[in-house]
Amino acid sequence: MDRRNAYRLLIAVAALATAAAVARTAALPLSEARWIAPGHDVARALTTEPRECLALPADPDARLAVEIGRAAFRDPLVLGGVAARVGLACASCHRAGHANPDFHFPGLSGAPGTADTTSAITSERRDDGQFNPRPIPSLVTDAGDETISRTRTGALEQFIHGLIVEEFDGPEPAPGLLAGLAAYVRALRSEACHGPGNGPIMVTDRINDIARALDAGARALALGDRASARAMMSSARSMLGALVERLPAPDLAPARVELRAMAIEIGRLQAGPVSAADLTGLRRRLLGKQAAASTWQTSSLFDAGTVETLLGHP
Amino acid sequence: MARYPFIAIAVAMAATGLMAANAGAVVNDGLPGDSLSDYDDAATYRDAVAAIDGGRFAQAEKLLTELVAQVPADANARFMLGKAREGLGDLPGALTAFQAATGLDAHHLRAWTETGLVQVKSGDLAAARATLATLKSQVANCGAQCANGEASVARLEAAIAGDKGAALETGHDLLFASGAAGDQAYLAAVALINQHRYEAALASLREAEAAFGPHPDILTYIGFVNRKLGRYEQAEGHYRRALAAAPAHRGAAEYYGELKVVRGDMAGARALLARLETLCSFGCAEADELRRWIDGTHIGS
Repeated sequence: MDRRNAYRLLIAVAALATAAAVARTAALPLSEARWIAPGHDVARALTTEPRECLALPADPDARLAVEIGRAAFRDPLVLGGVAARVGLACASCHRAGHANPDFHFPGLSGAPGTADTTSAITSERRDDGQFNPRPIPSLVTDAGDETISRTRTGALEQFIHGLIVEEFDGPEPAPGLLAGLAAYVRALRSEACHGPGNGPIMVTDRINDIARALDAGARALALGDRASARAMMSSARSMLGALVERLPAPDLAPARVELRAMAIEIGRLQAGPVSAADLTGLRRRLLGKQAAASTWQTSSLFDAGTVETLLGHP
Repeated sequence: MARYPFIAIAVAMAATGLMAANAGAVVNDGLPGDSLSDYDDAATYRDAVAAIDGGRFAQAEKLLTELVAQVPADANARFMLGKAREGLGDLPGALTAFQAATGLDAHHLRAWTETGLVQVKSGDLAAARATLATLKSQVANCGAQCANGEASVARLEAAIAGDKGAALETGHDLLFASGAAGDQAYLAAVALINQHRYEAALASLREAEAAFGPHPDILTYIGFVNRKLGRYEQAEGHYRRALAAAPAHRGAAEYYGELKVVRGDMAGARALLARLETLCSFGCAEADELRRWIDGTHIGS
């Protein structure tokens, strides 16, 4: 089969798969709903995730690097290219650093939980003209059991750089960001896994994630690393957007307005002068919402019953 | 190494959540066929095609007359209006509409073919032969942009030669306007763009446009392909139409802004960036990329 016909076949398959998936999830105004494989339990996939197995270092600088990487891992704009435009982040394929058996991207995935990392859909630079999706690996590993060495100097950084710039056609990552992503992946260790495999996704956990990104941004600024700080602001905005998507209920309109205003404020700081105190103040304001946020859970799209209702399931 | 802006299913899927969350705008939930209801003109076009397909020609004519008033530069709306009038037995009215379609888009082979077929049905064989000559010329000149040109020529030739089947087979041949055909053409265009095969991509996008009418995703990428081919006027026209149909369309705003950078209109590019920044409360790749074009730090062309 020549390359053009291979593409046409791939495209036809993708179109059919997309049509089926969209019909199922069209009622959900969520980016994440579009990456769920047809036939999978949408409510479960959207409202639960694996526990993050993160071994945070004690050293403050090393810990900051992990936090920078953790936030960047959740920001689609880090990847750039097509991924950024559709809202795919590292965490879309690697949920909390694990594999994602529910993942399905039209044109990139074959079986659920697979992706073709050498496709023209995401980048011409690694396009091999073949439709060859492979299982998405978990990044949570035991020492010495990694595909990419986590101990050889620069190996992981080089791999992640290639992934961003070549596999996803993204912009050149700032040094602090790249180091952070590598530090985060190194900190995903199986010995850090505690508790049952999957747990519910909580609104308050998502707010904590955003607060951690703002905190990392403030700390990066204090160290003079403005590029990493701006990346943290970008991540905080993206995560605020993902959070607002989960709050479509009419009675949550004031919360949406407030969170959007916060994102706009972060955007203004991202584009202009910003101090560590600015980000610390925003973090404090955000954490001040936690008590209210805990009451959003049951009417949000973090709640399986609410998702089922929107999907029209009895 | 030169790099190129990649479009993709992004396209298709772009912005779902982010667009909804960012702008309170429509949720584009996938391929163009999935988002027709989000755009008034595309939804009207879909309803009109369904009416023609169901033999409800009066309803179709009413819808298409409204659509033509709304998007007077849309050749496909004129073409479908011709089909509706033909279904009503209004051959002069159909001829006017098909000719208007060819006037707006000289490469609209279906409109040329239908023009000739209506002329045959009206008994004006001289006019039909002249139309056939024009159709052949268009097929010869428009290359990869015009798919299935030979089949169009053969059909009109058969009708002129007295094959009534070819002449009468004009009422319900709307398979090209099905959602599945349109989505497949759109995805094919995406892959062709990523392979830098722009003329072929344009042919696929024209098929998608024939299926879905004035859908902003398709108009945006027709604009993009025209820009890559150096046809800036046509690119601008399509971006403007996309933004008229969907003022919050992030891709159209970004690519129109990039075109303005290419043409040296930095103030215009900044105005579009300002629009994107308003649309993207939570940040978006489109604003980031246009900002890089304005700053001169983007990679690619």
